Amino acid sequence: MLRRRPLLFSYCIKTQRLVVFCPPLRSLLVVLAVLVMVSALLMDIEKIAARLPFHLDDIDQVNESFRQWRIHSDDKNRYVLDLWTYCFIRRYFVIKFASRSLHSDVATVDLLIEQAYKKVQTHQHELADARRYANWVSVICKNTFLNFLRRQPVLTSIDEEAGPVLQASEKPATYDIAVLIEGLRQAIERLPDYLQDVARLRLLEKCSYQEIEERTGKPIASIRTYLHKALVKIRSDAEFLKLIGWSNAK
Amino acid sequence: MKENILLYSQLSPAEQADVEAYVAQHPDLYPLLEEAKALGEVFREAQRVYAEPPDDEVLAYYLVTRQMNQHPPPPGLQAMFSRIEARLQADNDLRARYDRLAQRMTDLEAGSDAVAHFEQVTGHRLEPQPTSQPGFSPGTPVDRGPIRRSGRLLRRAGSLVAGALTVFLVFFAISTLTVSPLDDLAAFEEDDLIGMGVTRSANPNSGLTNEQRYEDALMLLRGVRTSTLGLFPRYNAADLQTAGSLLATIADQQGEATALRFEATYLLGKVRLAQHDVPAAREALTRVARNEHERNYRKADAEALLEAIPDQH
Repeated sequence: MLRRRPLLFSYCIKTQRLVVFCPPLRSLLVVLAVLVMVSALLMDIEKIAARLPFHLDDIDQVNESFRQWRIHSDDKNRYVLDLWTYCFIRRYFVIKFASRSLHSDVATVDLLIEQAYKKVQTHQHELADARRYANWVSVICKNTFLNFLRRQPVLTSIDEEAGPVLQASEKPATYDIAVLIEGLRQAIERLPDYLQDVARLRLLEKCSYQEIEERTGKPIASIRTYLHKALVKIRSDAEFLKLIGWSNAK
Repeated sequence: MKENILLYSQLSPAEQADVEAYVAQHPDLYPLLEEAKALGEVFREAQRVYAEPPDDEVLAYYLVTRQMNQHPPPPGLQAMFSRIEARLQADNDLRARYDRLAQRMTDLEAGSDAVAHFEQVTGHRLEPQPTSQPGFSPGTPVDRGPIRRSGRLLRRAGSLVAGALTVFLVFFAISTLTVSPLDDLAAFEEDDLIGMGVTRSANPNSGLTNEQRYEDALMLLRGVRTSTLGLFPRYNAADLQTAGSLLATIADQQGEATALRFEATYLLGKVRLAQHDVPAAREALTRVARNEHERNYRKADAEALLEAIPDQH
């Protein structure tokens, strides 16, 4: 039957759908693009790390693997340990080189990985505390990287006005992120309870004194006192100092 | 003041200058000051994880670690990943940096065979990827929640779906932008094409009635617009022409105004729009829009269409 059709209504619906759909469509496109990029990035290191029975940043598990290997000297733990060590070292240097404008090639990265790995293998038996294996490997990576940076030539311009810019205040980040965060988090947890909140908010999350005051209800004068006490304790925290390579004690 | 030495990295520049001046007068305190500065550098490195926006190294760490592991990350890292992902969705600049980093890492990895390097450096042969390890116990297990089974296949499937969807959405956008507004205006809705259920006479010499012409036109118009998965719509020119002729025959007849004639004239206007014959479309639609007859149910629709035709046409 012939009947009147609400033309305007249907056009409004179409327009509404387009308008409603667009903002989430834009977000969807962004997320999809990121997912496709991440998924498409086939990295060899993934193939190796897939063999690990635990997460690469599960420091407790890898330290336990080291402890078990020291006790039993079995091939299985040896394999897992070497797998983890290689993946950890490789990730460390890939991140350092990819996130900086370092003049280097793939061979240099491979060489540094090899150097760090061999240091670990050579001095592994000297490590007294098995619970520190992951931290100790991260310190070796850091020192290997620092030595490499020191050997880098400084390029200077023949133009006196555009000479080298001193960057004494900008030091390269050298620690492995996961090990450092976990180490500092554990150091803060070893503090007395009343110091932990202030230490975490200021030293880890870089909150201002005003923000800490708002979140903890403590006056700023007390916050500074607590912070000083926390630093005194962290400064003498042997575990943390070994993590950041300030002590030769193993 | 001695307390401030250890707090050096937490002080304002003015307070730091005071500390430096004090230590200059008490050189025995230099080692403590150097230690405080070095400790400050360590905290500064750790604080990068919480910085907004994240720096390149934190992004690179996320990029490598996020897809590397089949096991859930420690809770602290999971929170960091979630924060970065939320930021990536909202920040175009961060996404651009992320893409550049990803390309740099691809270039780094592309020149090296990590598996061969692993085997050469460690002396181990890379074993097949385990699906489960019931008898393997590297030590006292730390309970981190359920361990995900291999997600590689799911991730690959997901990436294929995501890729296909992205491609479709890109074509959708192109289709939307390239379709002529006249095509959109001419689109025949379901209500346009509801017939009267009229059948043809069994006598081939009886000639077509207007109702039968209308039904024939509707039949042609039902399949006149085609598209590929809803993209890049197009009209069958021959069917449009035939339907237009049938409708014009009804519309141009003299005599009493009927609902059928108004309906046919309105549809004729849409057919002319689909043919991009704007003057003819305006003429047909104007006839409907200006007629105040009580059985003219398409008056408002015709007025709306006339208003919607772009001025440049």
